[in-house]
Amino acid sequence: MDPTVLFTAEIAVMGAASVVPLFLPWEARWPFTTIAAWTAFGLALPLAVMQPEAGLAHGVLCLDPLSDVMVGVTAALYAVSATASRYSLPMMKRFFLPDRLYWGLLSAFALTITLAATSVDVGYAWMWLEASTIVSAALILVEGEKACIEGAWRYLIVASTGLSIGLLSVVVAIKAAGTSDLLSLAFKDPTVASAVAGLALVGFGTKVGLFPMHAWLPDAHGTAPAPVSAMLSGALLPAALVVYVRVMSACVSSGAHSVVPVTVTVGALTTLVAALLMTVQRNIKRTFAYSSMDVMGVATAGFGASVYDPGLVGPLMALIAVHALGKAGLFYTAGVLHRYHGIKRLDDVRGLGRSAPGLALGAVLGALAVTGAPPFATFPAEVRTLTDLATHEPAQAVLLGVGMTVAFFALNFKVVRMVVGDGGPEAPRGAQALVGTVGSAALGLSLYLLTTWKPIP
Amino acid sequence: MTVQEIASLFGVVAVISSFMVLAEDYIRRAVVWSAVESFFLAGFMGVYAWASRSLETAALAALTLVVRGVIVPEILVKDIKRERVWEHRELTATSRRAVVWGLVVSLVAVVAMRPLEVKVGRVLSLPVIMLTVSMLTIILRENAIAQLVGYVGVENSVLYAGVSLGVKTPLLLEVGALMDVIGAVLLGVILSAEKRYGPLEVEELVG
Repeated sequence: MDPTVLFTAEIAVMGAASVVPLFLPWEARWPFTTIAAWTAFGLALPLAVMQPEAGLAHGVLCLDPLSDVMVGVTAALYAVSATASRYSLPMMKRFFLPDRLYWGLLSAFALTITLAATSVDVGYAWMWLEASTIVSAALILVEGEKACIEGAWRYLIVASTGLSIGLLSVVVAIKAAGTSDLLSLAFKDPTVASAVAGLALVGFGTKVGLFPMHAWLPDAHGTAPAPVSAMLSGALLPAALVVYVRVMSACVSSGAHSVVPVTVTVGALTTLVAALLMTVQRNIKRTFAYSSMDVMGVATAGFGASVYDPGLVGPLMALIAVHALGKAGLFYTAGVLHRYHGIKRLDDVRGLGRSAPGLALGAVLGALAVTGAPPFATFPAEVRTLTDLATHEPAQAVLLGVGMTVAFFALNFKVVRMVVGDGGPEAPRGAQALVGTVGSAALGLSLYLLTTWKPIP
Repeated sequence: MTVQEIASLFGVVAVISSFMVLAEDYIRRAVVWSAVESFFLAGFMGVYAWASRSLETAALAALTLVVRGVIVPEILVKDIKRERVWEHRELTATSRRAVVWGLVVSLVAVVAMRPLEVKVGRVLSLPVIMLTVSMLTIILRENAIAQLVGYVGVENSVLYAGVSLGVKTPLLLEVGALMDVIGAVLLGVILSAEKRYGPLEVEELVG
């Protein structure tokens, strides 16, 4: 089937699902959004699997292998997050925004991420990322706790300010290159290309959660409803990274080679800082948020290293896909514990393996997936990134290696402590089945990618 | 005095106003300086639009004047009058410290942008100074209204850079409108949160 038709249909479904729930009675909102989300996933899946030829551009949208993976990842998270919202929204006690907005905003969030990752024009990619900030902040604001309001505030102010610097890079690019079309972006002067890449790294890097622009990330992830945290972590951060990678590639092609070690260094430092923060963090969702920061650091360093080894892009996209499902399993576990038992701290959870085996399965598989344990597809991506960097940027390789090791032990140790022991909290069977399935899907996807999938050229 | 010189004068006054926002200890006066900044920036854009016969830039100037020069400051001043706590001096951000920081980051910004300025042949230092000073306002202040004023400065500076560079695309106008929507959302959060919890202080964020 024509990829353009599939993609257009997916966008139409997401668009309709952003509006229709506003006019539905409350009991119909969840079924409608869930059906729409799974339909969107059904339309997006062939795109991600087929991997149409690179450079297939249609007007303002670009369906290349990079964006196809992002379309698939976003649709998958949208589908499972809409499903998981059944166990999240009804348990909220205080609302800041009317709860009927939640369903439309969830669909609009998926729509803005999809459009940001597929925009062929960096200016419009920027606009969709900024729109996603508004929508996701509104999703955090649905709940009326004071922490949610403050978290949303910091997210809005920090992410928007950071993205303003990204906009400055777009403006300079338009002036210097005469276009903002990513497929034809080229600079005559390497100095200008370096400046554009540097501004883009700071601007879009803020949205990725890169050190030292990551201040919003733990607050937003920590206070958002769990399904929203999963989408923020698994879809929004990589979508912003994809936009940066496209700008970086154009700049490197124009002779801005100095941007590669800078990107790799920022990525490695992000992983190291996130890993260290993870070791001392006690809040469950904030720990998982730092884990997202850690993985984005690895991916950023990896995309920097892909300039030396273009074959690394495929494994990195696999890392992004598997991380999305693994992290969803972790956040849904945290969400169920918070909503049904009021548990927010790691020290308050023991014995999940006996009391709620589905949650335990999802959490353990999720933690192993996101920390790059074999046989998950994150493992070859991390190993290849490290080996490439050891050859070309050895100092950054050491930083990254230390960060990855600390993150592996920190997260898995904390999750294992939640699982073992007795007297753990119970959870609804439906929620357990969902979390267990999502964690298992990360494993299944890894096995598929490692055995069958043709890597991105 | 040429049109270029008039436009530059408006731009320089807007940058000085952003410094006044940073240096101001009282929230209400910071809001007033923010309105002054937007007024002069709108003047800069208006002169530029007239000289280049650009309808998009004229629309951007109107948007800057109406939204960030009048509506947002008006709402904030009314809110400040209602909530007396905002009129108290902020002890955590003294003007002396803020101005020193502002001068340092401005100097760094000018030095950092100089090579790019030479290559593109346009003045970028002033918008970048405004950007860094406004970001400093967000970083040094802890209450939400002051941070919103800083955000308005950031928005102004990016649009200032776009117009200074002579970017002729509808994108700039669309971007300006979108950033105003974010400003409106921020404003809405402040007003709604105050009704429920009182003044929004971001320093209270814990985790």
